[in-house]
Order: sequence, then C-alpha cells, then structure tokens
Amino acid sequence: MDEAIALFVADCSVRLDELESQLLALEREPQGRSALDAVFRAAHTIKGNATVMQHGEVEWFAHVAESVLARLRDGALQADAGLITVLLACCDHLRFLIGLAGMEAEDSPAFADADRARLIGLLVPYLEGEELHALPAPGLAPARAGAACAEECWRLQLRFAPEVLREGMDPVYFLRHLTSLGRIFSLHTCIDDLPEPPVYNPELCYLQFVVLLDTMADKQAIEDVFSFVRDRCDLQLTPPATRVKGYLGRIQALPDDDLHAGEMLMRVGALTPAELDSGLRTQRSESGERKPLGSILVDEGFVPPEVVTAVLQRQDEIKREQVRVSQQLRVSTEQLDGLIASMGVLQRTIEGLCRRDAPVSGGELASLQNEMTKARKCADSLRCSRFGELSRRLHRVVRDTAQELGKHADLRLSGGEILLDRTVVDLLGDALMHLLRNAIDHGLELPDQRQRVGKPAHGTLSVEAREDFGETGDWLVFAVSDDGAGIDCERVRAVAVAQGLLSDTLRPEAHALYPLLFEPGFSTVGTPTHFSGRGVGLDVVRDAVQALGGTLAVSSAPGLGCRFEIRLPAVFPGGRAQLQASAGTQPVV
Amino acid sequence: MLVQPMIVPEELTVHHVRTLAPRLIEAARSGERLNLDLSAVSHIDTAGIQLLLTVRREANSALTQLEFANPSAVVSEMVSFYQLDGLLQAHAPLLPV
Repeated sequence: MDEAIALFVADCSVRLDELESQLLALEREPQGRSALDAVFRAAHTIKGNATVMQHGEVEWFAHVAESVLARLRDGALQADAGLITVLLACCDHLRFLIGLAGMEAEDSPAFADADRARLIGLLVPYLEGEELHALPAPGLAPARAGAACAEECWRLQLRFAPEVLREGMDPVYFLRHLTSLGRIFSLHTCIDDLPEPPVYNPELCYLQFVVLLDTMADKQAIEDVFSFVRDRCDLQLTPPATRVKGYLGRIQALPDDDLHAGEMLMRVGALTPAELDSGLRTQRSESGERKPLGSILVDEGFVPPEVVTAVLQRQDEIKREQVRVSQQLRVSTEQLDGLIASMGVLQRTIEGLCRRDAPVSGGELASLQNEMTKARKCADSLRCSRFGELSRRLHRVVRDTAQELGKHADLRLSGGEILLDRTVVDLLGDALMHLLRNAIDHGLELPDQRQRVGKPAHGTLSVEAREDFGETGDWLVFAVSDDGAGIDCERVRAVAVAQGLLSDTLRPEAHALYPLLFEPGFSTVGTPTHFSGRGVGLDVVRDAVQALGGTLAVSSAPGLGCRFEIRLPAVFPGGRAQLQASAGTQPVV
Repeated sequence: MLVQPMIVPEELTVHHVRTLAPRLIEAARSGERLNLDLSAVSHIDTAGIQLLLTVRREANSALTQLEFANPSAVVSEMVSFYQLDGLLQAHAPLLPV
C-alpha cells in the first residue's frame, strides 16, 4: 500500500475512534462543551486529511457531518438520541469508506451507494439552506444500470400466496412498482401452477413470476417494493454478477471487527434483515444438529455461495489479523521511558560496583534487587492494557442496542484501572458485549413497563472489574448486572421442558435452573431479534470464558435484575504471568 | 361461417371472475368456434388474466377454435406487461373445420 494512504487510513482510524467515543460522551452529557469540541475537531481533521489525499467521497461526507456539527455547536440543534444515531451511522460509514481507501483492489466501488443514499436521507432533517442544496437528492442512486444483457440484471423470483387477489394485493401493483427502481428487462409469467377446472378457483392467484430488473438499487430497496405483501410472498433475489463482485470487494473492505457472518452479509448489502430472520427461523426449526447459517442462506437462495465463502474466509482473516495485532503492542512512551530509566539506573549501579574494589554490601544488593523488581514490573506492564480501554466498545454496544429496542439504558463502569493481558482484552470484550446485549434485550423492561412497577425509565447496567486475591487463588472478576426484570424461572422451566432438557414432573429451585441458560441453542425468546437470538447464546460466552480458564455464573432476583459474573484466573494455565494486578501490588508470577 | 361474438363485460377483475368463469369455460369446452370480444373491458387485473389463460387452455384441449377479438387498451397493456403476448394471438387449434 502507498505509504501516504497507509498514514491516511491509520490517522483517520484514530480520529474515528475519538469521534465515536466523544459522540457517546456527548449523548450522555448534551451540554458538554469539551465533547462537542472534540467531535468537531475529529470530523474536521478527517475532512482535512481527505482533502489532502484527494479522497472526494470521504471529504464530502465529512463535510456534511461537519455542517451538522456546526449547527449543533451554534445551538441550532440539540444533541438528542436521534441526531447521535445519525452521526454514529456517519461515523460507521466513514470507517467503511476509509477502509476501502486502504484496499488495493483496482475496482473498489467509489462509494457504497446504498449506505450513502440512506444516510443522506437521515441527514436532511438536520441541514438547512445552502447545505441542503449542495446535497444530491435522496433516492438518487436507484436508476437503471443500463444492462445490456440478462446477466447484468437482478433476478427476482416471486411466488405470491393464493389469497392475495381476494385481499386486494394484486401482484401487478408490486411488479409495476418495480419500475420506480429501474427498468424491467424481462418478465416471465409462469403458468405451470394454474390448475384446470374444477380445481381452478378464479379468485386465487396461481401465477409465479421471474423478473429481470435493470437497476442500480440495492437489495433492500428491491425488497422494500414488496414490503406491504412481505408475508404473502416468497421472494428470491439474485444479484447480477457485477453486484456479486461488488459484495466480494466490500467484504474485503470490512473493518477487522468480530462480526457474525449474518452481520457481515448485511453490512455489504448481500443480505437483508428480513432474509436473515427467515434464515435464523429455519435454523431454529431444525431438529438435531444445526446447519451453519451460511449454508441455510445459500439453500434458501438468499446469498450466492461464493459470497458466503468470501465471508467465511474474511472471518478467518480477521481472526488471524487480531492475533497479529495482539502480538504487536502499542506502548505508551511513558511506560517505555519508565523501563529505560530503570535499566539505566541498573546499568550505572552495576558499572559502579564493577569499577570499585570493595565487596558488595547487603544494602547495595537489596537496592539493586529493588531496582530490578521495578524494571521487571515496567516490562510486565507493557504486555498489559487497562480494562478501561474497553469502555468505548461497551458504551457503544449499550447505546445502539437500547436505541434499537426502544429502551433506555445507562452504563456504569468501574475498575477501569485494572490491568490485564492484551491477548485477553479482546476475548473479554466480546464476552462482556454479549452479556450487555443480552441484559438489554432480555433483562431490561421497556420504559413504560419500568415506570409501571415504580422503576426509573432509564435502566442501569453496570460492569464492575475487581481483583479477588484470596485463599481460593488470584482472580480477576468482571460482573455485569442490570436492574431489569430478572430471570423468569417459570419461562425457563417451560422452555427447558419443551426442549427436552428437563422432565415435566421436576420443579427445581431457581438456582438449579440457571445452568440451563448456558445450554447451546437455549432461548426464551420466540422470534430472534437483531441482538440476541442470532443462533449464538450464552453458551458461547461460557465457552469463551472457560477457554481462558475462568468461570461464568449467574444470579437473579425477580423484578430486581440479574447479575452475570465472569471470574478469570490472574495466572493463566500456560504458566506464564499473563495477567497481573494493577500498579502497586506485586506482580503475580 | 360467421360466429356470433360473446361480449366480455367491463369488469374482468377478481370481484367478477367467480360469476364469469363458468360461462366462459363452458363456451371454451364446447368445441364450437368461439369469438370473445374484449373491447368493452375497462378493468382487468391478475385474476382476469388468469381467467383468459384458463379459457385459452380449455379451448386448446377441447379443440375449440378461440379468438380473443378487439382487446381494449387496458387488456392489451396488461397482457403486454405480463409479457403474455401469445395469449391474444389467434393461433387456431388443430381442428378440421
């Protein structure tokens, strides 16, 4: 990669991290001047970088975001949840664009048209006057692509429910509406299912359709044409080869985040949320061994096999990259200077002793040992990072999940100063994020439900990190608790009985039911949401914690909330001093 | 031989096909030449198209010589939207007259 581009990508990534965490801070404290200034500065720097690099799309986008921020700074706008959501989405989009800039693919898309069109739509209410005129009209992207042959078209295979005609939802309305997205290249009306009289009922729909659509629109936009009739229509959407190539490019450009395959496919536009839900339902309904989601999505015709393959490969790459990054340390100069100073003292002392003829006294040895211990502590600390570094990720996940589910949640973190091995930080972060999502989705009640039972509308989640160095060994403890409804034991019991995990005649105590929550595939929710129920459950968290030699426990009080506790050994099975206590205590070896 | 055309009424839609279908299907199965005049049709929907398809298929299997005559603009447009242009073309069944 060109060195300048590498620098651009690296610098923008740091600015985007800053932008994101300051936006979250701004939402918590809308009047906070320093957060707003920091947000503004970050956006401005990204724009400046993009100008220098002549990256028009990033520049343009950062400029639009900056315009909104300027109105915010001038007091013309309020930093409410809606605006912060839009700005966070802009932040994600910029991350995506900057990721693309770092790619060497020769035909990387100039911009992700679908995301762009959607974001412009979201930004419009916050802009005014000339800024507004400078924007391209929303919905500009969908247009005919000028397909010259069938291979360049989207293929839509449609089967409507027989009752649609009687219900006033004639397929022809929806088919005609497709022309708002582009041009119908061809339409094949299939009459194979049209029965002969007397089976033929003139009021039922028997026709199926295969449409080739010449359009620039994305999958979601095409699916949206049928949203009104979605549960009355089987829709199979096959992208043209050029589009598939675009997905493959975008998959490569995805940030190195830990994402599920379904989320990755949605991010690149190859899968819609409705399709994901349908795939997850299929996965759930199967008895016996679960098929991987990817192959279900291929079987149902939602995603071309090569796209699923690319996502799986990218996931492997991301894992490898994470390992590589975890092997490279970003060290603060302060830490490094401490180590260098300590080594300097040691060297000078030893040199002094060598030059001298007199024997070494006990006091001198003790001070030498003291300095050595200090140096060792410094060196050990280089491997570690503060628990508080996870703060941005945890706040973001709480914010986004609560927002999407219509709930209010505040997150409190404590123990940010605790040091832990860098290789553990990511795994621990994933586990905590999962527990927080789970707590918001299953634990916290909706604001009006909370108020009805006399709780504040805002739920409180907390993540406490602490050291527990005692007789049972040295542990680091991470507790995730919420003040939601607690675990519904009756529901857990009913689901366990239904899944054959528990005999109907047994009435175990609450604490004996809790371990069932960690059974693979166990879920008390009927339909999966975007957050929980992704085919990954608490069993995944438990497995991850166990792989680190730790334990996961849960306790709950009905009506008052739930608490998950992760305990990790301060010394890992590997023998190396991987975890260590915070400054001031002796390193654990 | 001049065939008396059968006039298809204005509404060829889901609300009317139930009453129209038996009459048209019976005529299509008669084996006698059938001329369906579509000039009066001012509304047609997918149910209407399905009925025309059924009538065409019944006529073919009963060796009835069927002609859809004078299709109104809405009928032609609908047939052409569904890319079923063959439906209206008077392809005579293989019948010794």
